[in-house]
Amino acid sequence: MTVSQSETKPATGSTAQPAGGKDNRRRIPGGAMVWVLVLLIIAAIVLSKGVFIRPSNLTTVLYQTAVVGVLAMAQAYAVISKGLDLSIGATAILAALVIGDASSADPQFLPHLPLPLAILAGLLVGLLVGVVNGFIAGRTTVPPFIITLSTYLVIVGITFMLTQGAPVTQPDQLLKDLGDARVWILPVPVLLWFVLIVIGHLVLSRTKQGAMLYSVGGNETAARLSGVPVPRIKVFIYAAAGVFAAAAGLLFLTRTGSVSPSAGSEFMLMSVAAVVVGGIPLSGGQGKIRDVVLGVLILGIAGNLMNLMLISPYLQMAVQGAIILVAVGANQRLAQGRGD
Amino acid sequence: MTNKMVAAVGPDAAVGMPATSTRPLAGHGPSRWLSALSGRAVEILFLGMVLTGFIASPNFLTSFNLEGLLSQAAVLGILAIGQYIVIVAGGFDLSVGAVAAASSMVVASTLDGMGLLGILVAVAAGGVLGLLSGFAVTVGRIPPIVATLGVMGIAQGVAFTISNRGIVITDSTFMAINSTSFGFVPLLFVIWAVLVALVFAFLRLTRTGLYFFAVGGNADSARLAGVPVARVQITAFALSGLLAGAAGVLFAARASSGLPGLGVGWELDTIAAVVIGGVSLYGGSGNLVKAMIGVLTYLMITNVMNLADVDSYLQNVLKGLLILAAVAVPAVLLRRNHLLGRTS
Repeated sequence: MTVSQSETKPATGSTAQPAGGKDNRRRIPGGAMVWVLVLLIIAAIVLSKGVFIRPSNLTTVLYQTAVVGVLAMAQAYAVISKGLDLSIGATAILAALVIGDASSADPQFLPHLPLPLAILAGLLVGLLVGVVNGFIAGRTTVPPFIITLSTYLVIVGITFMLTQGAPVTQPDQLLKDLGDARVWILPVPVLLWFVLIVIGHLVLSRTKQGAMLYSVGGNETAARLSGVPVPRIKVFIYAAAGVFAAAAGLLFLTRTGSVSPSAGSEFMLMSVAAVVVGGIPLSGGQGKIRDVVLGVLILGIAGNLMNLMLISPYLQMAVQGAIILVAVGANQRLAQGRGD
Repeated sequence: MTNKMVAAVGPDAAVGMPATSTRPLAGHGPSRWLSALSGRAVEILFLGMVLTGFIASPNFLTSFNLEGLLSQAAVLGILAIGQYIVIVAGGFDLSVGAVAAASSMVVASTLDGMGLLGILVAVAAGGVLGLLSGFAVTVGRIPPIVATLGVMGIAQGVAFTISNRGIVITDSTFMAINSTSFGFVPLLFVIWAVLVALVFAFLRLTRTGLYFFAVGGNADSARLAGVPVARVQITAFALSGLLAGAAGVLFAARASSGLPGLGVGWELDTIAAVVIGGVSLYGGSGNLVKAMIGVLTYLMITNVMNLADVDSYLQNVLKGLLILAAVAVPAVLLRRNHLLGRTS
């Protein structure tokens, strides 16, 4: 146990490249994505004739990316551990429905709860989903992809069984007020996102579990042999992802003021896209929360710019796809990594 | 001892969970029995679903139901062939559903002007999108999941740019693709079966075919052994694109229209079906025929639940649990026989 700590701690604790992987000399992607972001911002300012840089527009960008930003962080935990979590989008929506319904004056499928308890219940839903995912991932050799695909289907089924397909439209008024409230010029959901970024970063870089997460993602066998309790760490990883997903659901609810069971179908792929555009390799063991934030901002700013330029939403899909290809391709080149 | 070893050398040695099923563990009766079963998960599940359907509803074994099931399986199955090729070669193709949608739009919009030549154009369009994935993965060095996610966006964009609403097809010759059937065996099913046979022969009998398994098993060793890795990967994605294009055409015939929003979630459906069929997600192994039984099994889960009037919301829950069980049970057995030393 102590051995594994001393082995993995310095690798991830240092501000230099977190080489949870095998090769310390390998340049970690991330540096390149900063330049992609800078170029994109310059392009956005020029192409939108300055509209982009207005504070009101900047807050809009942040406001619109906050939910995916938190989901992408959940995805990053799974990806860094060499897994994938397809269930986070559905978890976010279920959590939002639970919070919205339990806190409403006239709940449809849950008992009425005071708002703090309702939020807690929502977060517990995320925790429960994550623990189930992590438990199976730790005890069997089933690929996380399949585990979370299955739990995704189960969650969607449960969501529709609970709600019978009806949206939750009257959550506690305080939630809507929070969504509209601002501190200085920053909307509360954006502030909550920032807080979660800090938490997500600290857990990864400053805790024992975070260090072990990198070692499991880098080389699971080596991690096990050096004393990392792999099954328990997997529970931790997916539980963290589940809680972040539920928090994203909370943000979604404050932003929209209502939630439909069929919402958020694009969340899962968006979260994966943000993680990889941020330069985190799917081969595991590497990546920082900073990368995720970069990825989310790149996708968010690109979307915003296309809206400002009045590009048709259909063409936007194609452009988003092309951006993913170009950004990741360029990053791979600059990082001089060896393929996958 | 010898008779057990024989199994490990046959072509099925490359099947999903061979470590336990084909190698002897010890003399213990029950564990040997379990091991033998664990390599047959998809066949067992398939028979189980047929039996369940038979018991659950008198309508299951009607020609009407079977015809519908087989036509449906043909479209998903052809997509799944492509997904199988890509997975065996060590990748993923998340774009199959969107490529099928784009292809359905292309065929629907070209039939009037070009006649049946539009079919070729649509299939070729799928091939081009597949090539794009292939080049992104090899030349661009982009991980397959990401590359095909990008191409998925591009394909959706193409589909919706052609028209953001469906295009109705009136060409009666084209519609015959869907309406023709031999007894309860629809023409769509025959097309699927022929494509399966062709791809199976290609993968098992040609040198290039074997390269796919080599690249998926270990790209570095394959490269060192002289396999043209990049070319194999590009071919895999191009084939997947062509097959997705074909599936899109067949779907257009089934729906008598091109639909731009088609195929959402199909990428996951095909992956799930192929995995139920025992194909390893890590590449390099898997039997195409078993993967196709996986497709039928996957669709029967929904079909049987529909016939048995299972609440449509509950269906998702049960489907998820079944997929998990289908993959987890063999995996747990594998873990129990961990002594064999070969993990995942």
